[in-house]
Amino acid sequence: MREGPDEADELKARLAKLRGDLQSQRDGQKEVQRKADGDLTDKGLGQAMSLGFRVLSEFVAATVVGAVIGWQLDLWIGTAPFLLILFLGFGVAAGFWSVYRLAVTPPAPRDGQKPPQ
Amino acid sequence: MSEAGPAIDPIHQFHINPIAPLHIFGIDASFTNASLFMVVVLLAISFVMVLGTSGSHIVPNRLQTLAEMAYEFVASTVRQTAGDAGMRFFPFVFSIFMFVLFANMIGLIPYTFTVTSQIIVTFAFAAFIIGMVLAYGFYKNGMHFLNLFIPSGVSPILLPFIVLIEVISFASRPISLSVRLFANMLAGHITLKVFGGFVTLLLGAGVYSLLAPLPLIGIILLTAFELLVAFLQAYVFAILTCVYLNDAIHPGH
Repeated sequence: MREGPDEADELKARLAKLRGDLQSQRDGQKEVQRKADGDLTDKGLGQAMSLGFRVLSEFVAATVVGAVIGWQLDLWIGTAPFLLILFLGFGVAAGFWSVYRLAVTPPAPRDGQKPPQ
Repeated sequence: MSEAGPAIDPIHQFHINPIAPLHIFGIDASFTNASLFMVVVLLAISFVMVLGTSGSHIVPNRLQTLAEMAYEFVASTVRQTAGDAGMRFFPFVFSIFMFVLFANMIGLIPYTFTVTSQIIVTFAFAAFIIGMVLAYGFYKNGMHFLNLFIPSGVSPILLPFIVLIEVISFASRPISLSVRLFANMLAGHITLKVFGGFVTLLLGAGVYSLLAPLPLIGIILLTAFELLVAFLQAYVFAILTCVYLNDAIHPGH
């Protein structure tokens, strides 16, 4: 019975220490996170804008190319306007596919990883 | 500037004026202001690179630092994107990057001509890049290069559609590559000119001339932004060249 309060005190002290350690670690993580966010707002604006332009131009270009292919095939075979409509759909699908690929693979592997072979 | 001119015309800066008319077999091959600024860009690049690499001091001077930075930057970009096998295209990518970068940067100086704001210039680059990707892809991989259009793990029913979509997506690359650079340069320069027009118009508008400094501040901010865009577009052009060359070196994902 004598050791009871001592043990409890020791346990409390250890708990307090643990809480302090956890808190400081969490603060450190927050600091790192904030630094990363700061990087994003400073340097990342231009990168984000260029990525946005990339998405836009890929999508528009694929749609236009699909439409032009359909239009020319229509002129050639004489089935206007069905192939134009069909290939416009294919162009839009190709545009979405390009944008999807852009989103899946990061545009610039920064951390020195090997590119997908 | 606009007081002398009849009206503020933001498109006027993109007019191509022949300096030395030259017609070969009915083809207009005149030396224009566009040609002049291409020569200026080439001279500027040669100046930086030749003088920058001639000294090879252990403690580099400014030009040498610039040349080495450009080399390191493009080399790391090529190596990260296209792998070590892509390094044989390093001279090509470096030339493209430097030309686009210097053309964009020199175009930001007032009274100069922006070569990359002409779609025919950027499209010629993009068509050449894609042509080279096709030629090298077939030369290196033969018919296996066509695996680029056949993703693995697709059900046979969907395969014709996927292949068609892949082909359209590939065919759209030269267009998106050229239009992106051209549109960024064109839009940026027109925006700067329009803001400049606001300043002159406000100055001649009586009481409202008090507002004239506002677009001027806008021009300063936009010029800084255009510097960023000029660099980023050159970088994006170079990195996409590497990505497409990577497809030629390693097809079939």
